[in-house]
Amino acid sequence: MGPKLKLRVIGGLFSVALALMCGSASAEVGVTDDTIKIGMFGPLQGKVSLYGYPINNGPIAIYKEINETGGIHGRKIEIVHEDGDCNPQKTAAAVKKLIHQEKVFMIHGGSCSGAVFGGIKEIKDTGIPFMIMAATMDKLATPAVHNIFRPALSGSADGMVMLEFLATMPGVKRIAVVRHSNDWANAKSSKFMAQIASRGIEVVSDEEMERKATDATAQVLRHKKVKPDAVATFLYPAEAALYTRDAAKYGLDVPILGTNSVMDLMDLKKRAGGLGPVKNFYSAAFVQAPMGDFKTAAYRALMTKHFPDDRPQSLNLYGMGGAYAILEALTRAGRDLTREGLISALETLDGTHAGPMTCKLRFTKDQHEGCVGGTMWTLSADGNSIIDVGAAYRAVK
Amino acid sequence: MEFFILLSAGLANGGYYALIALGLVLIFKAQDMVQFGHGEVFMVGAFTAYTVFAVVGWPYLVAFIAAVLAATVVGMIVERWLIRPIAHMPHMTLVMVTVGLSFCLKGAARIEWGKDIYTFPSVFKSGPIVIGEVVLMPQQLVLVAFTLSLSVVLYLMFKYTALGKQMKATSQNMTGAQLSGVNIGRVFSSTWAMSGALGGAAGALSAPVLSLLFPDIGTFILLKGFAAAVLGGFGSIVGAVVGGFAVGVMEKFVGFYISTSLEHISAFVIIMLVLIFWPKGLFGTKDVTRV
Repeated sequence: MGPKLKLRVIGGLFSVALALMCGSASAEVGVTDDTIKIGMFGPLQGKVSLYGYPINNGPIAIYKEINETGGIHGRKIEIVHEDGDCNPQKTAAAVKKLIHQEKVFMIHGGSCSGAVFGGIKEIKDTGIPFMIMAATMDKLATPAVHNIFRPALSGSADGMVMLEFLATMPGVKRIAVVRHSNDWANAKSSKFMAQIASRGIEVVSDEEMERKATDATAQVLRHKKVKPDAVATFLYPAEAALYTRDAAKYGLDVPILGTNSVMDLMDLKKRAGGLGPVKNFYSAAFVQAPMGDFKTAAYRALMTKHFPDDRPQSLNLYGMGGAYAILEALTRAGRDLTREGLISALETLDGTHAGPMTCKLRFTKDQHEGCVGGTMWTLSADGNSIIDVGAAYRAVK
Repeated sequence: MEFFILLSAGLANGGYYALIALGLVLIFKAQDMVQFGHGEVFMVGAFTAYTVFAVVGWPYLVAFIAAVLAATVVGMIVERWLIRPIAHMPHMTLVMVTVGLSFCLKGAARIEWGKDIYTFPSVFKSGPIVIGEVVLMPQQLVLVAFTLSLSVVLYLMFKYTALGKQMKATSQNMTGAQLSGVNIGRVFSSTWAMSGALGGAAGALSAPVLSLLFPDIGTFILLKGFAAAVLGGFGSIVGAVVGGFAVGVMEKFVGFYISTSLEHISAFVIIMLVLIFWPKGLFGTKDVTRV
């Protein structure tokens, strides 16, 4: 090999090496030498903003914590927020902005099912990895979509936790139901309603309660009239508190079950005006304990450290499981990070720690619902602590 | 027995619908316009009472007074700085300003209160009063009694006091009233202050009954108050009170006897039906203009 040819070969090899080096550092959208850009969206302003930052800040606290320890493979997590306002059109716009303008690597967001559904087409079309924050609508992640993962209980799974519990309650054959008339309540109650007869239980009254209702007199009286053995509520916390308050007021003294949205039973007790209305209340749950319990003390400390001006609340816990899944998958995907690499890594998670959640996360190629089981909680007899009853009924007080 | 339970629950809700309707009617009587920001005046009253009673821990009476004062000040500021400079403009302009006011107040409240739904603690420790199967909360009784007393005071004020007559004159012909020596600035200011005070009182009195507070609460309540005012006949003090109680009771009856799905839309159905078939409402009077 002549000196000229040798120089060309060395030059060529150097160019290839340089290209590979540059490629490995920043070939993927949203990834630089020292950052990974993750997009978040949710209702950050407006009338439903209490489901925005309080939920998003949980994972952010975890990301901030990991950043303090040097990040993942030397890269720190950078968060970009967009407001989706619990509105499908605005969420679609927010998702497009995150993907095409902010050029994020992946998205971790979405609390309102209907709104997330508005952005889902763009997410599917672009193939960007998407970890659902807290939205529960089944069809967002079932059947499995290549790039979409859900770490929390789906709506129907939440309803099924309630159903399986009801089926084990002694003497419960006739139940009354009260639910909102929105996609959230439909997601949680449709499978429950479809399968309840197969458990030998009859629904003797099915009532509707509007969001932001100011009392539940009509619903409670209609229920009381049919003398149910138990009541299943598919209501947000404020309305669940109203229902339990009015049930106690008008003497409807039967077990009342709620979805995991009402799992902060201490908060429910406060909203309902004391222990009386909620002493026979059971809620589905997918976290180990509400914020304030010793079991979630570490997460409370995390929130206080990174958001010292905010009141730690149970909503902070909802999206934390997804953050742990993402961090674990980013670690497994290695320094040469690509979107497909992350998706493949997520599909290897099996028994992964999910922070405050009761489940260990498991994703496969065909199963992108990471958590399919839950438990039921109730308040102790003195109302000062929460008892994890388990998936099946047992007398605990 | 359900009948009496529904009646009592409906009357309790109707109490604050009536107070809201009274606030709307006051402005309407003086300026012939609908104040779409009145729901947010209610919200200011409710959150002021919450802050003083639940956060600071002062007695409920102090919270009530603070709420009335805060809402009165809001009413006066709005009149002086937003409405009076454009008082001669078309009604649509005035109405749109009040719509804008509603959004501004809601937005401002969300900054501090938008992250949660707040629970107003019980004011009375004595528990409910039970008569047979009818359960009455002391706060509900206070609310209903206050509403009825206030409506009598307002009725007498409009009928017998100079201010009441000046309000009516200003509403019918602002220029004519001014030429007759009526200080319309004072009339407007008094009207908005009174309307604000009513909104604040409604907020403070109903907050413990509603028990759940959030920045958008005024929008929901305003619609009910509006339905009450329409049913009673916009412009009638007695109509506002009767309309308020009627809407409250009707909601409960529709929810129980027909369907819970229809409970909350019944107020809107009332608005539509009254406007179509009975535009003057229960106590509305025909406009008569002397020429």
